[in-house]
Amino acid sequence: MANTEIRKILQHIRSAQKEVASALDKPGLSKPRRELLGDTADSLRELDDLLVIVDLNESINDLEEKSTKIQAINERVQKEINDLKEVAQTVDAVAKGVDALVKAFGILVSARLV
Amino acid sequence: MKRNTAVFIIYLALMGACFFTVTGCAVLTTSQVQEVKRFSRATDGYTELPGALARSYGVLVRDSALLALSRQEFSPRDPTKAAKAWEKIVQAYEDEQRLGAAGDCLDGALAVLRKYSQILSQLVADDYTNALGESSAKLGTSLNSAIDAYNKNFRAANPLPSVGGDIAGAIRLAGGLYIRHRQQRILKDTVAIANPLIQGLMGDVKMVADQMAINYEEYETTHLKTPFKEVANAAGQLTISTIAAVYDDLSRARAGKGFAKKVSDGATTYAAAHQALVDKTRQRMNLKELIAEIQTLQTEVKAAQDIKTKVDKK
Repeated sequence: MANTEIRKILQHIRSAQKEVASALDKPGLSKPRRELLGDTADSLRELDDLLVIVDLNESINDLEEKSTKIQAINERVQKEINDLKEVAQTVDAVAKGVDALVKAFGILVSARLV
Repeated sequence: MKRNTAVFIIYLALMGACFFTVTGCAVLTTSQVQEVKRFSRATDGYTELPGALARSYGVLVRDSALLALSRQEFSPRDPTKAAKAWEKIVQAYEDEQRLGAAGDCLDGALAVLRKYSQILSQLVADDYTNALGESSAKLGTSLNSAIDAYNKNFRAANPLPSVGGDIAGAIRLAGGLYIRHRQQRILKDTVAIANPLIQGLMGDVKMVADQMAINYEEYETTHLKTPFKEVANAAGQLTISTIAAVYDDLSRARAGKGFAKKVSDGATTYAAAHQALVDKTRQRMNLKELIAEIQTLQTEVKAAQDIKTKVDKK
């Protein structure tokens, strides 16, 4: 059931609850009648609670659908951020390579091979 | 300023200017970074609020069910009444749990927004250009060591110049502009793709909050006032604990209504803040944004120059 339909039913139930409440406000009600109206009010209230829960769960389904898509965007951006880090890492690797060459050159010179 | 330093700065500036005027590549500007930070600050902590609306309503639903039960009369001659009362207590517990779980689901669905905000902040951070600065400085120093070693052994009479600083500066500038361009591109694409989802998500949150505001408002009459009066009529006299419990729920219901309105307004603000971010990251439209890009270029040139100075001093 869609949220709009649930909310329409909720409105009807709440109108009925108010009717029962105003009937209970009338003085001189017999005890059995008061109990009957009280039980009706309880049943309407329970139905109200049930519909509020169903309504919330419907909305949550919609939210979760969008949330999953945003999660996918987050994961994609995280990968791109990792690629950005690689720019500096590549330069770092080249610097290490040049260092290694300098050291190797030093060893070759000291061994009188160049 | 030494002549070669001035030449180096002009060379860097020209290189940078070519990068984004000839190629037309936009770079991440300070105002865009500020907009992301503003969005992050404005939305921080919001994602946990809608869930609290459902959990708080769960407490009220439980309390009104228990209050209604207290008007019942019991007798061993009719044990079904006590059995039904027990069922209602269990039902009250289950309803409270369901609303609590709904609140947790709302939190879970919206937690992704917190991560989204963190990722955007991470994306526009200076970390990548700073790391590039350190790496280029290392490379410049390594190159100068290589040149020194070569000169010492083979070209003592006519040494090669130490160009490590120049190369490091050029790499810092080219890499820096590339990174700033990539950051801008990723940011622009991301917020554009996420925008319809965020607008939709906030529309859903607003709908939930608006309905919860109605629920809280109705609660006072349908769930509290009516059962309270019936309990009072049935009991003849009420204990202070019953009155205090009803008072607490009245207070909670009214606070809940105000809170729901704030959550609803927050959803509108959230959606608007994201829209502003989208607008800010669109292709440059005016002179002000062009100036902001030139300022980014200046910053990158200055960073490259600093790297050169650092390498040359070693």
